[in-house]
Order: sequence, then structure tokens, then C-alpha cells
Amino acid sequence: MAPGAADRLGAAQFGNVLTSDSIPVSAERWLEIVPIAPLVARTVRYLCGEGRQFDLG
Amino acid sequence: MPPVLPSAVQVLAGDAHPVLAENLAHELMVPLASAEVAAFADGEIRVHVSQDVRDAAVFIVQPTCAPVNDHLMVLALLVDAVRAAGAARVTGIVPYFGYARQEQRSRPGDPRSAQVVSQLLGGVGLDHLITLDLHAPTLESALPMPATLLRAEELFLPRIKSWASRDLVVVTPDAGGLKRAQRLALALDAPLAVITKSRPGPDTATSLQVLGEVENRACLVVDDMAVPAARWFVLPTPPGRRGPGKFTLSLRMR
Repeated sequence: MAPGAADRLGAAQFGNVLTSDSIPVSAERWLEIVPIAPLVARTVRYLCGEGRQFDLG
Repeated sequence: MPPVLPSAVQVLAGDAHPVLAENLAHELMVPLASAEVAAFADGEIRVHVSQDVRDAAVFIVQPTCAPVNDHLMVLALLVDAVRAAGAARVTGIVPYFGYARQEQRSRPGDPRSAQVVSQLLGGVGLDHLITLDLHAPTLESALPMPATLLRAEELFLPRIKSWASRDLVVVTPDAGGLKRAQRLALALDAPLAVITKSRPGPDTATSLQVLGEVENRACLVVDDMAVPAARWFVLPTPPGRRGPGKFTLSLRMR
């Protein structure tokens, strides 16, 4: 997160703030973090599955 | 039960986001390999991969977030390291793709920075790129390798729907995010509003006006970067009218 962004977000009048963990992000009381690992894992499985993209031999 | 991956799949953590790499390896049920990343006294970065990657499909987890240049260089060196060690395929998992904002020249004398970064990664042997909400989707056509572009709304939609907000309006804080907001508005069956703004300088923006109906509505502000956060909550209210209702923000942290 850019310097100062967390402070500005925390001070803003948002009812909810929803973000992903696409970069490291600190847990805050006002922040709801959705993990991206399951989505990325599905993509990796798709890419590796049934030789769609990768031929691993 | 998800299908079992071929044993030749390896997840390699860079230094930018080891937690994500760990979570991904856990999801995939494969061991996590970590690279040694250090620097010489002059700041020159050196990396080392001790894992045997010969004939493997290697997925390197390394968002090029701040410090962007260091993380980008580590990624490039890791790609070369596993390529030189005999990896069959190298995929970069780069959910934050640094320099993507600079995909076009805004004035004579500017470089095409995003293309430079793309060519750097292609030049060292990156076979495939997985990224999340590429800031400028048009950049995909300039990438020298195939790319999988993931969308954050896949992650956010179930949460947003669970809030069951009535009178919801999706707000994009600038015209550049219009398509992203349109997709979300369509999925939520909600109207759309756009904030027009000017950019007096890098990382600064001034809100000018809101196009669309936000009065007394629950506003879902959608953006993909936290850099200009100072302006998200400055929704101008026309004279003599009530302002918007509750705000909700959905974004990707960068």
C-alpha cells in the first residue's frame, strides 16, 4: 500500500472497505481482506489440467 | 476433491509476498520452494534457487509491488535462474504488475514503461503471466507471452451480495475504471455513477463532479489502486441536494 493510504482509508467514512491480498496487507479493524490464493490455485489447476496449456510430459 | 497436479509442478516464493506463495502451495497441496534473495553492498541483488526444478513447471509468486524496482528485478533474476536450471515452463504469478499504469505515453518524451517491463520479463524467459486486474487491460496485447488476466470481482461479488445493500449504486472514481465498474454494476443489477476528475500531477487527483444518481444511495466505490486514496471519499454534492448515503469501498491494495 502506498505510504499514507492506510491512514487515509481508515479515517474515511466508509461503511465497509473490501480488498484482496494481492500484495501484503496488514489486518485492520476496518478492513475486510479476501484471499486470492483460491482463485490463483484454480487458475494453476486449469493451466496444468488435461494439457490445456502445459505439456508436462 | 480437486484433481491432483502433476508432480512436476512447483511453487517458488520470491521475496515480495511469501504469505501468498505459502497459501497457494497449501491450496495446490504442493511443497513450497523459497529462493534466497540478498543484496551486495552496492545494492546489486543476488538470488539463488536451491530446489531442483529440472523439467518442472515452475510458478513464481512475486507481485511487483513496492519497492517495485527491487521486486521486479528479483522476479527477472528468478525467472532466469529457474530457466538456466532446466525448468520446462516458467509462469509468473504477479497479481500486482508494477508499471502497468504507464502503458502509453502521455506526452512526448515519455517512455512506454509497461512495455519495457513486459519485454524484460519475456527476454529472461517468462513463458506465461498470471495477473489480477491488469490496470490497463490493453497492455495484454503488448505482452510477449500469453497472459491469464484474473478479475477481482470474482472474489468480491459474493461478499458484496451478502451485504444485501438496498439502493446500491456502483461508483467508479475515474473514467479509466468504467468497464470494471460496469461489469460489477451488471452483476449486482445496480446503476452506475462516474466521478470525473483531473490529474494535476502523479498520484494526485481532483474530483470535479459526479455523473449519475448517488443521492441518499449506498455507494459502492470501486478502484484498483490504493495510491490515490485521499480522493475516494470526496464525492461532491450538488448545491441544494443531499449527499450520498453509506459508502462502501472495494479495491485491490497495491
